[in-house]
Amino acid sequence: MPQVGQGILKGMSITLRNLFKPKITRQYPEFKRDLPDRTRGMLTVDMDRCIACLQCMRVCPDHCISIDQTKRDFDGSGKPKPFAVGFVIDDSRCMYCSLCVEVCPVNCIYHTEEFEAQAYNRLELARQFGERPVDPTLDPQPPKNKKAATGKAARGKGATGKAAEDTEVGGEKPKRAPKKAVREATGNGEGS
Amino acid sequence: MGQVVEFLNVLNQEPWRFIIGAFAVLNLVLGSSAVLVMAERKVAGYFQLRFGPNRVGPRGLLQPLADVIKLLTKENTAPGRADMWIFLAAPIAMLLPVAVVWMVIPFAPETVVANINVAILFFVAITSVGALGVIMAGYGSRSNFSLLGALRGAAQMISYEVPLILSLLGVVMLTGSLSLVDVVNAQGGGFWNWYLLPQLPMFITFYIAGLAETKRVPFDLPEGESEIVGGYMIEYSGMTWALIQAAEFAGMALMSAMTTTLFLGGWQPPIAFLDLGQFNWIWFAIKTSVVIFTFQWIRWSIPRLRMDQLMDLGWKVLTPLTIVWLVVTAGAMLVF
Repeated sequence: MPQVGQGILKGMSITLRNLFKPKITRQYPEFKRDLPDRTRGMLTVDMDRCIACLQCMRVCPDHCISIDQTKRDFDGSGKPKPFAVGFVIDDSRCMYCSLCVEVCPVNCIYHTEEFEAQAYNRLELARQFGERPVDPTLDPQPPKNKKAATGKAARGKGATGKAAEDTEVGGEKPKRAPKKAVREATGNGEGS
Repeated sequence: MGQVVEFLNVLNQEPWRFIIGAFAVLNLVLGSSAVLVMAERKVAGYFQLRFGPNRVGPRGLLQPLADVIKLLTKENTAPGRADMWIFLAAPIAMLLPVAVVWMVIPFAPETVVANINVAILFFVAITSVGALGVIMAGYGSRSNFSLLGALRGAAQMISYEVPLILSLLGVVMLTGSLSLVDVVNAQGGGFWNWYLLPQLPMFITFYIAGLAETKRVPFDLPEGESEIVGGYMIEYSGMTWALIQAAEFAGMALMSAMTTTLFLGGWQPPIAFLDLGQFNWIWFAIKTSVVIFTFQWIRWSIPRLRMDQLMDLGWKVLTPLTIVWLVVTAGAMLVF
């Protein structure tokens, strides 16, 4: 009998001591702690360096990158080189796997330290780079079409699919640069 | 000036006095329950090394206002097959008894809405209606979890009525009156005259039974959210839910006020020279706040009891204890 209630008293004394201890809460919007090195924040891209190789778009598992590619003759050599007129990163899909950063040959896509991605509309999270905006609602192909990605079955809606086809075979047919945004079943590696 | 005094005297006449008092008490109940929600969250935060609500207004002091606005604008939903009248009447049946009992509590000398000579009986009779509201809420929702929670709540509330009422009897015997005004007047003169000391077991019993009666932790089995999803109030939303919450928090305040009145001397100052006259309600407020704080302290420190432990405590510990101490009190009164 002598120890009846001792556990209760012990617990209550602990809570009472906590009442007067300094609080450990960090008030978030006012106080932001320093982020560690190699933080994977939101992606950004340096359009001046991008060579429109579409590697990041292909490797992305979530189809969150889409690039509007064209070919421009920069140096007057008569051989147009790929150029990204539009570049969109859809942060509502990105899972920060960093595969695009690793695969980029010129290191033009990289993580920033920004992590506060919030919007009232999901489309607002698709950030546009480059001179021509790309429609982020044109969804990449669902994974079930992966197997048939080499044919027309893998293509999405009319014009987009056609443009993708143009790009795919662009190496063989250099007579005309593709105009429209490029969409394809990325990450399968079969088309390349 | 004379006209103002005359007007105030008219207001002190019987029908006006009662109407104004009832209105004031209703406002006190609703306002205090809104403030107590914030106090609860603040205390919980401080116990857990957090700050609690601190965004709305300076240090979060406008949080009750924001809560009220949010709850008023929220949609009321009900299950499709619910018994609509019972479902909607249940929150009222829970809040009204709690609000009515405030009328017999003396806040200061001469400051009581209705000085009736059966106030303690009134308190006991009216607060036991609360179990009806719980049953109505659980039955009217037509949800198994609600009904289970309501039955558990009713069993608990009815069980703890017994030690609650028995523990009042010691005070009644010592005072010789059922009027709460007489009870407070009998405890005047200093804190050694409070019923806390001669009736200590009764005080502890009343306190624990009051915790159980207001369905507070560790006796919150009716809304044990880990066993039965949300208890009898699962299906409520918006303003009906707010009324249930108001009933709970006002019930906590009421039980604290009754503890203060019966055992801690009501508005009596602890030492005679601290008497503030008509401003003795400050002492009442301080004592009630301290008791409310202990309620909250217990809530955030102690885990919930099991159902059989709850029943064991009520029937096998508290009830015999009160009966024994009744006999002791009677014997002491006979001897001295």
